[in-house]
Amino acid sequence: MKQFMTVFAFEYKNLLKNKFFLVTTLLLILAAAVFFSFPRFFDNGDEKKSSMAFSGIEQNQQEALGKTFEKAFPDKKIIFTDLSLKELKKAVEKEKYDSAVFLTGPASYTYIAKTIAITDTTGETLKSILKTRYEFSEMIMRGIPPDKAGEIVSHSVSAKIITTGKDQTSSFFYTYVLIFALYMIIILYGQLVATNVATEKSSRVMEILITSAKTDHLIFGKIIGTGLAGLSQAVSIFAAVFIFCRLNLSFWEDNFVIKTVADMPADIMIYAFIFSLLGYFIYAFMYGAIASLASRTEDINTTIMPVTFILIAAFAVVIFAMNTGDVDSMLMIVCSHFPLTSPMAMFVRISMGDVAALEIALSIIILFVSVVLTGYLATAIYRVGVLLYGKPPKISEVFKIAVSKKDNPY
Amino acid sequence: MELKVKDITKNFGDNEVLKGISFSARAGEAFGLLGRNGAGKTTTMRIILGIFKSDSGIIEVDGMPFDDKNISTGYMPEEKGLYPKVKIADQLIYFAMLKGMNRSLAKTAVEKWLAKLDMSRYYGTKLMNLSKGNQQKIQLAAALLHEPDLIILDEPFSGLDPVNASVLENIIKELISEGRTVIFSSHQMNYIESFCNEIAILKGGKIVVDGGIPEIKRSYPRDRIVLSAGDKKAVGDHIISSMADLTVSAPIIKDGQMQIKLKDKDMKNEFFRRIAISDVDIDGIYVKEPSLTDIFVDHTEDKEGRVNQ
Repeated sequence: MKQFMTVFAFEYKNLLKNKFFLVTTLLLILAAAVFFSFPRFFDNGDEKKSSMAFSGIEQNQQEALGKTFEKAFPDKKIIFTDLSLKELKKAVEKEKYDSAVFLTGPASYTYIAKTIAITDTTGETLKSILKTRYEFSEMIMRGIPPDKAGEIVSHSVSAKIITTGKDQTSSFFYTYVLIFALYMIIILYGQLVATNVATEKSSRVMEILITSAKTDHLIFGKIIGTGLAGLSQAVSIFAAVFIFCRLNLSFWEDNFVIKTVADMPADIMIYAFIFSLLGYFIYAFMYGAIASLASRTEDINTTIMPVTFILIAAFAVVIFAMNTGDVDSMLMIVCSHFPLTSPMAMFVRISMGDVAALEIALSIIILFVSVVLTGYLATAIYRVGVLLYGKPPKISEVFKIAVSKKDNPY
Repeated sequence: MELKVKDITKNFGDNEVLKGISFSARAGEAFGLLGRNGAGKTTTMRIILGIFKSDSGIIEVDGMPFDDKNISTGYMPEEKGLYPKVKIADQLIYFAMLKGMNRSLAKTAVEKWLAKLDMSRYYGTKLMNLSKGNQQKIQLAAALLHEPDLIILDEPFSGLDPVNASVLENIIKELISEGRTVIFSSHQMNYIESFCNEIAILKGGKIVVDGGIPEIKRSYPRDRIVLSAGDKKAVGDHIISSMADLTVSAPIIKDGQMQIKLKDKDMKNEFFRRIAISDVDIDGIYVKEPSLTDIFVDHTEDKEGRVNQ
């Protein structure tokens, strides 16, 4: 245990003392501070409004419609002109106006814009305004008094939403942020373990280490030490994001994404923590074991590729499920119990889907047992691998030796 | 303390690396493992240290199976390796702590050894900023910090300049005088001769010669004669013309002296008699004592001209 603590402390301190590690952490904290404080110093109110020209509207209607448009497009400056469709198009092209609308009839129009963003809802809003206006004038024409007609068209539908499962509109964003963080934690710190193991092997420190300490103390100390250093980094960055986000939340009121992320439920954060920790361990053991087979640090990228592929595949499956919204599909149910995919798949199901407590517990137990088993197997492979120089052996060969508990035959 | 290696064998796959190695090393003495590259020296050392397990045979200390829990070991591997980007003091303290020392004891030991090796100024320096020779001294410190009972040094002199080599020489002598057991390998025979009481020469995983150096030398065929003379040509001509039945070939001149190899060591007296009654003028004559290098080359040279593995 003393040896484990020594290895653990050495690895932990070495990483924390690493200038690159420290600078990256500080830069990310600074980036979080600057990003979230940005609107505090640069209020959007003074921002120049984009212009929107309307043509084909009779003079007597301009005032009333102008008010409606201004209300519907608060971020736009409404301008009325009597330009023809061709002239309007030219004006937009020459950037006299940012966009323009030409009314071709009481219920038809042409919308001109240089580019239309994927989130642009101008068309929908215009349709709705013109439809209401058309219905109103039609009702008056058919003898309905204006006040009655006004009442009818302005009547709004009241709705109340009850979700028995999860409301994916808000959970999507914070799940997305957390799943991304989870993936980054596993891949970054897992690969850090791989690089450290390969460096110790290629610089031949391993011969000293292996005659001074037991291999299980070495690998467990290394993986837990690196993991804790990584956790310290991740926690400081997340804390910075959370604090700066909370401090500046009033300036982000109209940003739905940030608001939902800031309001993410505490239990989701706890699950994210559990799954990133267990996910890190299972992958770090695999990375550590497989990296012990590489003779040179240059070989490390190709050697660890199979592990990275599994991780990327798991991430892709989960992101695909999130985008389709079907996070409780058969594939996801299987993935959420398979230990190499469950850290991400089960977390997404908890956060966005409908999953029973028993299923969560089962998934965590499977994952935990797998972490322990992988740890033992990794130690056995590591013991064989670290003193093996030259051409890397086949994984199946090493696996056989490791499982048979025979001595290193090399 | 007496370390006994008894009949150890080791195969790596189909490759039979050790074919029954036995020797013993005692406290207060240095034991030299000699052999060409690939003879099995490093594997033998690794088996003693428990890095590899032997396929058969045992290692005993004072009659009991060797257990690194009771006997502390210090190892300086042939392939030198430390953390290039970690400060000298940090890594040495780490190694000492892995060997069971607490932090403050480890720190004191590191300071002591750096001072002893004249390396104190590099306490907070990263290893990669040191010269090769200085890195090797740090490696030695890593092996000795925890005052081990059994010290195994694999090629400790390779790459050291004469000044650093003499520092290392003094340290090894000190370790021996302190009663530690030292096992080391080297290709520099002068160091082996100056430290080791006993040696074992390995070839192809087997010990071909072992024992005390004087005994090995004495047992060696005494069939070489060294002769010094003013007129070497006249002496040479006489040997070629009238003593060819005793010599293998014509005399060779080495270090200003003539060397003659006899067909048989029993022909020595006849050679001396004929020289004495001849009228050639000689200054001195004696039987050449074989050097360790001679013995080493003689036993490890591949007669078919192939390299031993």
